Amino acid sequence: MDTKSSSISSEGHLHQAKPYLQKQFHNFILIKAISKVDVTSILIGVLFFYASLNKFNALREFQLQLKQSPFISQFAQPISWILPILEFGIFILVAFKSTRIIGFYLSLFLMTMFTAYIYAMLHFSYYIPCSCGGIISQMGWHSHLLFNLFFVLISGLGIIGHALETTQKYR
Amino acid sequence: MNHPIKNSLIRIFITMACAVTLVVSLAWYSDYRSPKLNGFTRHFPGTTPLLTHTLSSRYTITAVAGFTATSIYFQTLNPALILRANHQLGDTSYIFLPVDSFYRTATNFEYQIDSPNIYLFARNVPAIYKWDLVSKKKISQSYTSRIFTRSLVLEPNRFFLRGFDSSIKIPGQIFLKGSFQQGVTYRESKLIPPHKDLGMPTDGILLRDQNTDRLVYVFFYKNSYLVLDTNFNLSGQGETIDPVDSALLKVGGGIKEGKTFGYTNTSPKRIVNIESCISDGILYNNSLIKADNESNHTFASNNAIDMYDLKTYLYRGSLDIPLLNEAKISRFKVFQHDLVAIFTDGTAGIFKIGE
Repeated sequence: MDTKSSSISSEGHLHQAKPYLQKQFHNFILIKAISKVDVTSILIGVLFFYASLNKFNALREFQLQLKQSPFISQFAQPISWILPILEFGIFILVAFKSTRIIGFYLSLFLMTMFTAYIYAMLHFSYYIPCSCGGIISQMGWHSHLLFNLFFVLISGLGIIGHALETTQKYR
Repeated sequence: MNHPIKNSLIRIFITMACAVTLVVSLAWYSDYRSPKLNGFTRHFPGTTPLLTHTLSSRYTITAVAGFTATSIYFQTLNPALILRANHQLGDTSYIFLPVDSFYRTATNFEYQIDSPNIYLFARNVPAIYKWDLVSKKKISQSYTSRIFTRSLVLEPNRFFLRGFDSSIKIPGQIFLKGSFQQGVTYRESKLIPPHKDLGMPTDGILLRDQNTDRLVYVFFYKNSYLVLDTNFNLSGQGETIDPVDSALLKVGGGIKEGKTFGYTNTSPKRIVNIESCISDGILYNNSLIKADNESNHTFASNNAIDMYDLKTYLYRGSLDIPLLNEAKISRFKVFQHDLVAIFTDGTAGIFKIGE
């Protein structure tokens, strides 16, 4: 709190209170933004670490399930390797502040792609396989769609939070 | 709005647009995209089937095992337990049967009840058992050299199978015929020649037409059914109304879990005919292909059962069986004017389908 300037007039009080209040408000937003970024990076990190581990653990099954998938059957072999490596890479990227923003964008890209893929499968394909891992495989496809949308939102919040944090630092 | 937020939102939008574009491109150019029009129509003569009775059991009903004049028998997830009910799905009771190789049997089995006998096809054992329905005593059993996937019994004591056999050196399936006294006595490998595909692209349902003592084989993955005599000679061939005339199914891969080795499809399946049955010379076929005169909503909310006359091989119209508790039909059988359906949630329902 800056009390160096002081004045006894009511107008002066109001005039000095305004920048103080603005600063307090910006600090409040900044603290919240930092908290949000940390939480979002933890959530995204845990999700992709878990997902990549499950895929590496059952790579053969994952490859077969991709081959059974209606839209990506012909790309099953490369995707079965690229996807878990990418997911693990996102986990690493969000773990460090300097690379976190790249992780958020990759997370947003992947989660949007997964969400769009589930929507397309539910509406435009004959056959609906499952290529999920662990707890997620217990979900129905509609629940999975909502789950993915949640993480699209989280990734977006992480990007915005990071932008706010960066702006505050350079003020 | 602050610039950083505005810039972030723009970048978020671009990122999401790229992701969606990629998925749309993959779906658009895929061979497995469901077409808007499939090139055929259905017609629905008569009134909508009426649900008259339902039945749930804590043991999860999986299929109709058979009918008598007073009872309907259902198989459950437990191979040792059969549920009996009357034709109003009331007055239920359970039949317990001492099943050999219980756990192996439970992996793939089917019951057929033709009073006074109960037949159990333990496909992975592989064996066929026969019990007396009244005394519950085992009358006989027969073993095959390899597992089988489709099976039925025609009296007296004749069984018909589709499965693997030690006489075939490649991993494909053939038709087999036998009796409880002699075991497998006849093998037919020319009708659907075996390939190294485990018989999966040519998989189907083996049915019996009791009126004419014939067999009918309905393919899962294409619009065709075969009518055979009891030596697997082709009597006739019919087509279902959809235009899917070839199976888009590749087989290859295998998954090892402990000592078990399983095969699976390595491409998407396009199931055309998922379940069928025969009653009074009519083939009832649950099709998974939407007709052009059906909306997406109507098709998704019902089970399309197409009817074919087995004398003329002509299409006779369709029935729309509604979902029950949002569950689709998994198995069904027709008995006189009742369609007894088993839904994916394990509930049984009876629909009146005609007078």
